[in-house]
Amino acid sequence: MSSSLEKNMLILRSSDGEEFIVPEVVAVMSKAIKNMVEDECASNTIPVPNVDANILAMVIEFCKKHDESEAEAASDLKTFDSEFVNRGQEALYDLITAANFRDVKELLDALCQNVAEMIKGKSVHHIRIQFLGYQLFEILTSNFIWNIWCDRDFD
Amino acid sequence: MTDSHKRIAIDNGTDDIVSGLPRNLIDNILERMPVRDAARTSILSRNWRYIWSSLPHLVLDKRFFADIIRNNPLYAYTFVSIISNILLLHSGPILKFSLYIPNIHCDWDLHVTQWLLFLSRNGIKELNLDNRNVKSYKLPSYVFSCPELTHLKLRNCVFKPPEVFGGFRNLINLHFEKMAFAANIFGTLVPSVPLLETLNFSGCTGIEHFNIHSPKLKTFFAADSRDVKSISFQSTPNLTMISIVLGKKAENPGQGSTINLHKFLDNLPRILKICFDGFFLKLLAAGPVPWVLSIPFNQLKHLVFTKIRFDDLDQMSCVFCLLRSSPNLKKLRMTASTVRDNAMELDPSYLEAPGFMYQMLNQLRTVKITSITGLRAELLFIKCILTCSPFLETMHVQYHQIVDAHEGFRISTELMRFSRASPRAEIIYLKS
Repeated sequence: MSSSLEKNMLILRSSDGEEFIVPEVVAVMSKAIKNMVEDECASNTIPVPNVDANILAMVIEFCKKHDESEAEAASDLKTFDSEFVNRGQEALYDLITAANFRDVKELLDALCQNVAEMIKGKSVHHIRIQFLGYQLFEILTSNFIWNIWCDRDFD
Repeated sequence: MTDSHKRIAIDNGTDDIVSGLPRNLIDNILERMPVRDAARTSILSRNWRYIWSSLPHLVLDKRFFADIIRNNPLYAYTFVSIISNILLLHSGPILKFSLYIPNIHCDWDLHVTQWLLFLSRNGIKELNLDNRNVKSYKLPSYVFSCPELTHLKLRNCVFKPPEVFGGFRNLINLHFEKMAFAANIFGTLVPSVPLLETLNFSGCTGIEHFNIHSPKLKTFFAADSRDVKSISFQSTPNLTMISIVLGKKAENPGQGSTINLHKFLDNLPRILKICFDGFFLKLLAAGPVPWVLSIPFNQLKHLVFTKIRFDDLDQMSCVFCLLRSSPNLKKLRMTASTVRDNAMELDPSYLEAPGFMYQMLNQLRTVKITSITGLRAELLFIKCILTCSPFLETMHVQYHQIVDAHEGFRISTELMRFSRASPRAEIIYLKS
């Protein structure tokens, strides 16, 4: 690592050109960045394509919190996680793809759990309104499973 | 609306956030919810239609059955036909299949056998059969010809490998619960699972001799295995955790018992955690118990003893042998036995002999001793630990329910008097 930076700091550059200075321990929570650092193909600036400054800032915030609070109580971290992922659909989508692309396991888990909670226990009607923003008028499939198992409680 | 079967398509061009995600993420999300909720997503929109039916993980657990049973007098029939339908509709491999078999009265076993045949042809890797039926289930032979299996968890099944058994070459995790085995299971099974890392037996009958030689084995659990007469670990260099709880007095420990503490524990260089119960210690003490083991457990951090009788010399000599052989012990947990027979009452004054524990437990930080009734042997044991652990931080003590407030006060005043080697040691009384 050749850089004039302080030791153990990395610069991450988002797709729209903004730069973030991040401690290495935080940055390597992303497996993809970790691999780059380990293979020593990371120069002083690591480009993070496909992720804009807004989303990158969120991801860094999440990783910082998880890095600091290793010693902290797990319940605190859980509250933080559930508040963190509670966002609008578009931000959620961008965050999930960013976490997947950069391979940040903790963030991906928290986000997927959040989306799962949005679907869990809801009727088809609800999920449609929530995700698709519209409602199909009437669907009655003749399939056995739907009639007696899936939709029984909501008819 | 007479034609309610007709779907009125509204395509306003908006995509929902989830169906636009990469497939591995959709699978990740859908695996986090009950299978019924995941199935419901397939009528959300055209994009969603086939997503669920190719999900590689199917968890049909207790909750799945509870959803069926509600307001449904024909639940046994429904249960069977829903699962058959799910499998018929499924496309692509099923890597993980978990099934709860409720106590229903119908020919469920025929159906389970068919499902397993289907699974064995679809690349199953993790299989979990949780049979809660009164009838035990005989595993069909094709389960034994699934070479891809990595995790196998069975409850209340008859496990009988066929004559020609190629083995589970990829199996990592094996869990048996309430199973009855033919006598020589270890002779046929264990050599054929070379990659095994976790082996768990609970409530299994018919196994008298555990001869374990799996070079990759990391954890070994045996609970409620009352038929055990001998256990030996050969070539298990990677074993990090052992837990053996007999749960009941071994029948005739003297006869046919070939366990010897020295031989038994000599070959475990990487052991991190040991958990034994008093009955097993009794079995270990049937052979000669050495003062200290020839090779100390330098890695051992955590010792747990359950159902210990502090006034039983056999059990305590094993406990002390293990304590003396674990210089790096960090955590000690003991639960006193609640069974009292006064026939074994021994003079516990040996605990006070100088140099009994001769070696300091320099790494010991936390101790928890529960269900004590204030026997002299218990108090002297606590005293002994307090005097030989200079860096102890907390000592949790919990009384048994039968100890009343007055007796509890007597015990605590007694405990207060003991000198502590560690200036930071704190004695904490927990509510029983």
